[in-house]
Amino acid sequence: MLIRFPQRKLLIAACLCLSGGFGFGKELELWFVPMSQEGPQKAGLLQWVKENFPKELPKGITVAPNYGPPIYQDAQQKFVVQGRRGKPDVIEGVLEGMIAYQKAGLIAPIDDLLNQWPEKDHFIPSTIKALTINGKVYGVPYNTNVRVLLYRKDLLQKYNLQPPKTWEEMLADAATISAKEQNVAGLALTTKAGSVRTFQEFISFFFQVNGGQNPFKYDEAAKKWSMNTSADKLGQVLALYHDAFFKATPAAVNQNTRGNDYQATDADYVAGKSAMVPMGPWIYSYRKTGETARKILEENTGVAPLPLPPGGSQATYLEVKPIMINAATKNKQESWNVIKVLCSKDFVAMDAKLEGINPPRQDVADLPDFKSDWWQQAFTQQIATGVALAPINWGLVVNDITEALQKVIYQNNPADKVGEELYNTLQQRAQNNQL
Amino acid sequence: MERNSTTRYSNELKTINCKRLIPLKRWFEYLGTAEVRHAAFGYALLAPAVGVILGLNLYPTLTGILNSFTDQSLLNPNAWRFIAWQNYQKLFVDPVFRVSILHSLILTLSAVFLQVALGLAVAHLLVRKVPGIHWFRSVAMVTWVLPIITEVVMFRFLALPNIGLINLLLAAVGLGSMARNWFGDPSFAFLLILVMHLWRNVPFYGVAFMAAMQAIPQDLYEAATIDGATAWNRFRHITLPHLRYIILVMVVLHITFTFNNFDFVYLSTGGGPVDATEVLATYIYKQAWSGYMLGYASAGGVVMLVTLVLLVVLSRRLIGGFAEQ
Repeated sequence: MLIRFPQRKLLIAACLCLSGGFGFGKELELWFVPMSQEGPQKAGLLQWVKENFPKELPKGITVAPNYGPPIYQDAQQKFVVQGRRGKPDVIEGVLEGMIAYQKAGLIAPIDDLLNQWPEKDHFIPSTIKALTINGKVYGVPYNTNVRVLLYRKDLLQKYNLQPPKTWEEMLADAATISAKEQNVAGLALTTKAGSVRTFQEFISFFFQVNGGQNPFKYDEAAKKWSMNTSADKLGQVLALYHDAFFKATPAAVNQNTRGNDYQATDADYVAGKSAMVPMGPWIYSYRKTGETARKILEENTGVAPLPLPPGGSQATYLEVKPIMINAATKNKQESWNVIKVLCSKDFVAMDAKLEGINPPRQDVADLPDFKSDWWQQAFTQQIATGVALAPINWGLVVNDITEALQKVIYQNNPADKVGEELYNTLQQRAQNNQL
Repeated sequence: MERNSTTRYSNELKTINCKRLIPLKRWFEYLGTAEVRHAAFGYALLAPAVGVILGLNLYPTLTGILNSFTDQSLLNPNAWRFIAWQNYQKLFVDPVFRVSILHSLILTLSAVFLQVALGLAVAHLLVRKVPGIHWFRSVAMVTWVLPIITEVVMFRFLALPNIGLINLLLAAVGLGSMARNWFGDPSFAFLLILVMHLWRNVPFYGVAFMAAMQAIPQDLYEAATIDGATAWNRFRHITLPHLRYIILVMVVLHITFTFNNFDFVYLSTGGGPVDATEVLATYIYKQAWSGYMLGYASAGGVVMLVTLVLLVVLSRRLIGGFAEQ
């Protein structure tokens, strides 16, 4: 029997209500770059996403199986343009991106939610501090790392060298290896223009010179950023790069590798083409790419803190990856529930193991698996010396710094002069409110 | 019959005194005529295309021009001030901008010139009936259909300092001292960008020119040969004039493509080393997405647009004049 018109309308309305409100629950949009990437290194994570992620989510919440752009830069640009419409509800990113989102008012502070979460105290304080801007927390960390010095134990031993403790020792040891070991550079540095890795290496050395301080500080009275360093200090770091490429013959760093980006730096180390390199923990995943890489990383690599300049302090770049909530989302509580899953002990432990990076949670770092892992321990010991970037727009500063660095290593310009130019440029940016 | 009445209404409306009120009924009668219906159908067909052009081209262009006079930031797009010509003044005192505009012009002119010259050479090879030429014609377009990112990654791996094929080959023939990071060398990086453009586009030019060459009547060549014309004269007076339109199309298209191109430079060198490969597209991108300075980047975009229009007009004049001859 046919259902009469008014009843049919009511039935359709009821079905819509059920499907929207109760049957399927709320579907959130999550952008999580590693979940959008492919390749053998991501297989474990993708399998977890497919099989376990839906089960881990609280009842009534689903996440759309499209995790946004697979590249951080793309995700950042798209979120800046479209974030105000409320989608994605949850976004994972890098610290520099979080700072831009906070400036644009695109992400919500989460202090109230975080403070009520019993697991809050398991996070390493420096990683939460890195995500705090003007006293408010804008993200929960799920991944962290610092820069250290990787060195080839076998090569240092061969030439009776100890892991260097000062810049001077590092350059001298590297020059010795460059001179004596065929086709191996003593040291490798990333120096591509505009490259984030180039900047991260530079800023690690800079933090040591600048007493673990950022190059800018916020002037409360003037309500703007001002310089927190000197031209001499910038020049001192630039001089390190100059000396690395030019002081000795053959040089500590192979001059033909000027302009290298991270792919070449990483590939050269695991291929045995360099003996020392400032590096993060991710390179350990290369051990699956071949026997040479495995042998170098598992048997012949040592980890040491970055060598120090005269009078410098132990400091290094701290990378923290946060998960944030869109300020315009209509599902703040549900978004927070998704974050709790992705920052849980289980997920952080699994992700740190898979990606070879460090956990920002102390309870994960204390797990037997991590305690007995020499690689994890070597990096975790340095996390306390990590310095987070100040909450400014680093985009233009990255370009300024990498350009200054290239002026020194290509045109062989005096480091002090370039340091002064760089200081003036950065000061002008601060004065013009471009930070 | 209907045609006559349409003309009558039309003439009547044209000659009507403007000061006099036209009876409404007459308007409705006019709107119902075949002439108006015919024209309306034409406009209706045009409307979607015009809408797309207005929406996707004109609106963003006008918005970009207006933005260039403001200090708008991508981080806070609603808070902006009108700052007149300040962005343009800042642009022209920035040495990196001046270098990038120069690089864009050099790259565009040299790439397009070499593509035409080498494309003609390839086309000459392709029209010859030699063994294997059909196979060669089929694979010639592979470079053009490959995604740009694939090409750049391939070149980057070839040019790597320690494990790149170029350096390994140099070492194998005893020229290991010449090995270097080719994209990281200010003397070679720009040249490599040019080589990537040529590698991608020359086969496409070759195939396009070959198609046009095959349409040239053979008896012209036979007559010229009988009259004693040399190979160069046959090319100069027969081939080249017949190719003028395809050359014009290819030049205009590729001036736009090369001048606007961002991928090759950004993916291979990022504009470095020391701005040696910085072009307008990468400069503007950095201002918009590293500094979030939308107004300033828009000013750069306007300068880019004006330069590009001038280049296209100039090339049309040059090649158009040649076509008239």
